[in-house]
Amino acid sequence: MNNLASKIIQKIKDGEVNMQPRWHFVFKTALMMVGIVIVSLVAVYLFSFVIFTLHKSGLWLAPQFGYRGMMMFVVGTPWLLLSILGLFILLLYILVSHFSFSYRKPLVYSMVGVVLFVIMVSSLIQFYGFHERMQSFSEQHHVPGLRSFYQDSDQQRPPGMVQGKIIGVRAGGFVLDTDSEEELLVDVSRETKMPPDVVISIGAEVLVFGERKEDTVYAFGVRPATVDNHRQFRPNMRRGDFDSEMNRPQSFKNDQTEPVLVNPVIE
Amino acid sequence: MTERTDEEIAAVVQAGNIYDFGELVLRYEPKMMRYARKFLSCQEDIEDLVQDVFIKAYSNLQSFDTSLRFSPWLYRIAHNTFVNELKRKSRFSLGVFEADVLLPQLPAKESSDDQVLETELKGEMELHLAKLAPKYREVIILHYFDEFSYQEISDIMQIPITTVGVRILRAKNKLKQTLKKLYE
Repeated sequence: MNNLASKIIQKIKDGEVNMQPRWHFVFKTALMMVGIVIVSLVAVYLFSFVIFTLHKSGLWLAPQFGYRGMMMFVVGTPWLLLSILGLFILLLYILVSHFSFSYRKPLVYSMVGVVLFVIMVSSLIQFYGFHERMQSFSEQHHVPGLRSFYQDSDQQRPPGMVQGKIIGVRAGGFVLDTDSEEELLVDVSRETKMPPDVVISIGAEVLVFGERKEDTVYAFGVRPATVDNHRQFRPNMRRGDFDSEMNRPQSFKNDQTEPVLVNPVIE
Repeated sequence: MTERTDEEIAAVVQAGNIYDFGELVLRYEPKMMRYARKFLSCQEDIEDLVQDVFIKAYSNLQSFDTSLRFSPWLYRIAHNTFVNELKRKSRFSLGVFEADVLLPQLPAKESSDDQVLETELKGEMELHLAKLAPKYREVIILHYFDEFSYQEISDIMQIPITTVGVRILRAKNKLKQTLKKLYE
């Protein structure tokens, strides 16, 4: 036996070098698998929660209202959650990259694979109403932490985006009683986009996208709050009924109580 | 009597016969020394590093699946040890987000012409390996000197198989250019 081999055998005999038992590696592999499962679940939970908050707040509808809507969407997106999600996806990639099915293919494939997996499973979870059930469970059973987590998600709207009930319809707009118990005047102009056949009537729940200045929201988009989300908005549709009377009312006193059918004008 | 395979010896060591590990050291010491010398392009600490490789191999031997080939498993340990040494000396980038690892590459396959060329070039390659960047140097050593397949190199370095092919091709082109300049 040569010098190096003798040296190593001597070290082994002296107990300086020990062979790790098999269970150590089995345990390490199991730990890594559990890690992958946990990180995947957290990533899926986070992303589906982001989808849930975007749906719940109605913010996901904002990009339909052009550039300003897109900006509102960008501002209102929960970036902190998405950043945390990004870290989990990176962690997931690092864990998965130890397996030959991952590193034998270009890195970009594994990354796209991980991201697609998270998006698909999250969408499926959102589709089956997981978070709605979680929210009602947390409210019914007063689960600490979870309850406030879901309640906070209700207030994830950027300034200028309000939801509420119409309590008055006036020339040039309507009066909205918002979810946060404010009374706001919604200014509707030629620039305001609405889906076709939307009924602006007292008692209707609507989502308003606009620029807020004190107690007035200058709307660039209005959608029914209980909207069929699959209905697509055609970009050039304009609300026309308020066109002739653009003078904003000076008070919030209701002067019209009958439902108004707003016929969209296609320009 | 036929010689025992590396995998058979590894199984015996796993079962508790530590002395047989010496045989694996004897078999692989020259290859490891050559790999270390060429990959690290230096002489210092080579013996200590190779000893470190064998000690790690012994410690982790229970993780080795004896139904697979022993040499790529040992070279994987050696690769990690040598890369860590290069990083310690700040001469090697992490390499995880390099473009050839990140993006898909067109597969570069070997041809019979290549093999003739390789035999002719092998001697020259050895002389000029130090001029290559570590990432190119390593694939050349593993493929031409230690005769690993692309897939085995992929497992040793944990990089995509197509990247192995591309790096070998680029390394050969760089070496050819170097030789061309020398003989002009």
